[in-house]
Amino acid sequence: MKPAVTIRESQLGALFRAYIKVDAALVVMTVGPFYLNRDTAVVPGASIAELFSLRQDRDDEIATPLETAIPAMADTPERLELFCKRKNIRLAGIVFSTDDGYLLALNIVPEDFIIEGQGLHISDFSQIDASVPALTLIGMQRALLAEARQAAIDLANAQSEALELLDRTQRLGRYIVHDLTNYLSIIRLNVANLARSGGSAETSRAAIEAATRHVGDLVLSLERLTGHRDVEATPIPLDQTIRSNLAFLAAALPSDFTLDFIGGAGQAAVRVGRTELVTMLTNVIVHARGAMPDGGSITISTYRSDVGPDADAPVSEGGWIVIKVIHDGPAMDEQTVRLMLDPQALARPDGADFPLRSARTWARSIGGDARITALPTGTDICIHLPIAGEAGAEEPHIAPVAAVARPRVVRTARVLVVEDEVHALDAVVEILRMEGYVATPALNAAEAIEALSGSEFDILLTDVVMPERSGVELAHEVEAQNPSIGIILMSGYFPDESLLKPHWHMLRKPLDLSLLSQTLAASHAKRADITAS
Amino acid sequence: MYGMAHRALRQMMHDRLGASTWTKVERETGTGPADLISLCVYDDSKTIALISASAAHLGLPVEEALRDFGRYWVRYAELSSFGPIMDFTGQDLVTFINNLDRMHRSVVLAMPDARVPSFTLLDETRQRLLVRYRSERTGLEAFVIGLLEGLMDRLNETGTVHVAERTENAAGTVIDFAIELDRT
Ligand code: HEM
Repeated sequence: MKPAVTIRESQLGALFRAYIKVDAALVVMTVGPFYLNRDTAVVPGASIAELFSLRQDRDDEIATPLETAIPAMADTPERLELFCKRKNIRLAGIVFSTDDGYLLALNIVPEDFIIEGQGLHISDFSQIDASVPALTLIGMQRALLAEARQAAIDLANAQSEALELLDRTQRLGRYIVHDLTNYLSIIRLNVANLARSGGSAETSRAAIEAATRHVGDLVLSLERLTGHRDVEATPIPLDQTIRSNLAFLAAALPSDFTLDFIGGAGQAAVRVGRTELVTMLTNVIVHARGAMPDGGSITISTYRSDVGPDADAPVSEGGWIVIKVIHDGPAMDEQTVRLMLDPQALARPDGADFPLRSARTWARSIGGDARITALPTGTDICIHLPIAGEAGAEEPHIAPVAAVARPRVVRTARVLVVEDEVHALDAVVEILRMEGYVATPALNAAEAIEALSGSEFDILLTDVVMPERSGVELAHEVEAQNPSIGIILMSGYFPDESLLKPHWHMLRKPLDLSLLSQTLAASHAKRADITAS
Repeated sequence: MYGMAHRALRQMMHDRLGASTWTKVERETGTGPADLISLCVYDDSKTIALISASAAHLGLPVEEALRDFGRYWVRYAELSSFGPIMDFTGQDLVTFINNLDRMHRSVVLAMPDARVPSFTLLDETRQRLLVRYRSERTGLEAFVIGLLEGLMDRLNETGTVHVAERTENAAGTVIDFAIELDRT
């Protein structure tokens, strides 16, 4: 009888990847592509009874020999399931009888629907075999589960990092508050000096200017800390930086102190912010001052060293730079000294040891460390910093320049100063008066308007952010009433430009004093021109 | 593209330039954790923005970065939890390329909005494979070159990939890539 359909061997292989044609004695004649390169020994001439066993449904069942099972299943819809004896491979299909034996139409049954470790490939399954999407989808699901687990871990890590960052930020925030307070007291000291005519006005003025600049830079550190700015410090030459700030450092000390510097580090540079360094040294000096009620001498020296602060310190390829601050004064006991740098010890932000802790935190944040040793008289503070390179050209002199050329005021100008922070208002008014202006204070927009109704002004100098009415609104109103008045806005940030008029001046807070007087002079000169024409 | 591509890119940037650079890429492109969910679909412009920003940090032209990313994807898929699917697709170049479409078709059953490409082996000699790539997208040529190079690497072959023919229009892309293998 002619068969109803003729299937070619290649088609057979496409449909049943693991088919086996055997003769009546169950000896293999031809096989499907699955067995290629697979070391199953399923090759023409082999006996399938030796290669495979029949799948049993129950353990206590006695396996039927293939010799009887295959002829019995031939041309029935019954499922034949075979195990390969050599390899962990399971095959399933049905049996057809042929002219010269049997066709076992078999495909692979994946174990437990897990791809791993079975050595199976997509092409081992026929095009229509649903095992491929099933296996792939299960693989995808496992992959995505693993990823979800990883995401949960990432999230937990991010949370603990955030907490740590918060903790560090709080600590650093406290240090910065402390540093700012220090600078404020330097400013006060020197303002008092200025008021007492007879002191060196230029020195005090320079110290105040430098302090305000450092305070401005501290604000920058805060911005960096809070992620407002991405600033990477470039290496600065240590000796030159200290030398050029020595006058400023000395301004932190009353007159019964001496401050010496012995620079031995040559051109070695460290990767720190200039202000951070000056602030740290100011802190250490202020601390030393506190320990020396009767005055005395403080010496800062620097040198290079191949040896790090201790065995646990990270390696520094370029070696180390050591800053040593030695001061005389009453001796301290070991315990007090140890507690001074212990970050775990309860730190009161106003405690005498607080500055030293901030010095150590700072040094460690850049890969160094700080140590303190009690001397028979006084203490020896040693700060190790990793060398980040050698400086080339001579560092520009950034010390407070004593005699800054100031634009002189042509005619006494009348300035209305509006600022809601009373101390800041006092300070600006004070400075303006020192500069020769007639300054009138106002604490808010309402007070300013009232002042304007009573007298005439050449310049309105106003803060931007104020409760109730902002400086920008005030400026618009004042200018509408008095078109020839000069307008200067001051703010910690730059407000929306679309709200500003192009001829207004803008000053960034904290105020740079020389810039303030330049701007006032320029604004006043322009106004003088307008009124003259 | 699906978020899995973004996750892979993030991993590549972590490996190459560290987590802080990736944070910058995220900041520059307005990307957050919600843009990195594997099974979420994002507009291709997001993927392109991330790649361009990464390229800038790597100091590479975008095309070079795409190619690097293609190479990286193969290693990433292999080392991440997609490893078993990669193994399932094939352990030699010809099998792998022949099975790639079936793999992608199966994968997208779980990701209905994916637009997967098609790869056909047009011609095969011992030293040269001619592979036709068809895609609804344009502009991924360098990415595919990187992928094919990555595959060669993974399957212990060496050689070069170049474009033999290219048709790119609004309907998509058809590119024939020639893989010249260093076989004797
Ligand atoms: C386990 C590994 C892989 C998975 C899970 C996977 C999955 C996917 C998915 C879901 C997409 C669609 C993205 C979308 O439209 O949102 C895609 C795209 C793509 N896949 Fe794969 N893939 C894998 C491996 C590979 C490999 C090894 C190649 C190498 C040739 C490749 C080539 C591509 C290409 C070129 C595209 C871009 C789509 C286009 O050209 O239009 N994939 N893949």
